[in-house]
Amino acid sequence: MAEVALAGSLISALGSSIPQFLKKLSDLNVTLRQGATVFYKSCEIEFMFHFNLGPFESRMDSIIRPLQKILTKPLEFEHVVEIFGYTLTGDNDLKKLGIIQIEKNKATVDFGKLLELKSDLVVLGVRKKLNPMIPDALLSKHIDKNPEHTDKETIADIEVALDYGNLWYSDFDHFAVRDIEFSFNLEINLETIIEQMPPLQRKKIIAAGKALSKGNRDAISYVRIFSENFLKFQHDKLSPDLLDCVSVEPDSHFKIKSIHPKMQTAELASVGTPIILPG
Amino acid sequence: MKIYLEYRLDGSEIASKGKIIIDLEKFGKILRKISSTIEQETGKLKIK
Repeated sequence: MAEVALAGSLISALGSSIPQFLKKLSDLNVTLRQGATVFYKSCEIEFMFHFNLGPFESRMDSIIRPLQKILTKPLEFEHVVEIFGYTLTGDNDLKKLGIIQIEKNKATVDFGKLLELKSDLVVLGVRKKLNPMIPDALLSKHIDKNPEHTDKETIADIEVALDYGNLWYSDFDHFAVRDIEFSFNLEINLETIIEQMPPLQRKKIIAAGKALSKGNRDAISYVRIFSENFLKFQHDKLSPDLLDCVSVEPDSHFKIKSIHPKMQTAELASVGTPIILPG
Repeated sequence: MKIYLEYRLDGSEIASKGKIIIDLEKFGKILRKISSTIEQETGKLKIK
């Protein structure tokens, strides 16, 4: 099933041997909380683990012996962007203690040494690169293909959903997707564009169309200048104006990053000569 | 028009619905601005 494969992809991002180790820790009730945050834009995932090692005195029987076979060498993490760890009491940085070691994008965590710490609560965070296919597979985005047109506005419904959300929230105590960025195409229909143009301009376009059929050179120049000016519309210098005319609700969730006008070709009436307009 | 959005999805949220709204009055202002430039550049042309 797709969701199982996707869940497997997320967990396996940790590395081949680590999920098995974590499962063992979970079975021994050592893992208090586990969270995952997917960073959509940078294609990264950050895992956070809160371990409860229990009182130091009873640790040998409760954790060390059951884990002895797999504690012989440090856990290895590859393609690491960032790794950190600390004890909740005593303010001990696991890097300073030599429990976490980093070499380029590889990191090791010596869990054997970690179990020798006096503190019973330990936090470990690992940020790794993710398969670029995964962030997109986590989200589905929809825009209503038939926007509502009124005299004053064009309105399109949009929806963003976390796919298999229930699965993530059951697998992790905390799951979040951040820095999500995507695009929607929203077309303004040609009639609306023409209606919004000054009446004099509309008359001139029609006149240019008629004059073109008679081979009028000024009409050819007019159509060329007209199209060129609308093509300039794609340039960034007009983007503040565009940002001002497009809004998103609720603005607490959606933020417009940029708008790129898409140009469309319209045929001049009767003569079949194209002009360029934004859509 | 291609609209690039940034979206926040955190905590226990699974989905969000929203709207993209184009204010046609403001869009018309942009078109009129371009039209005014066209008018300046083509004012001397004789289209008959």
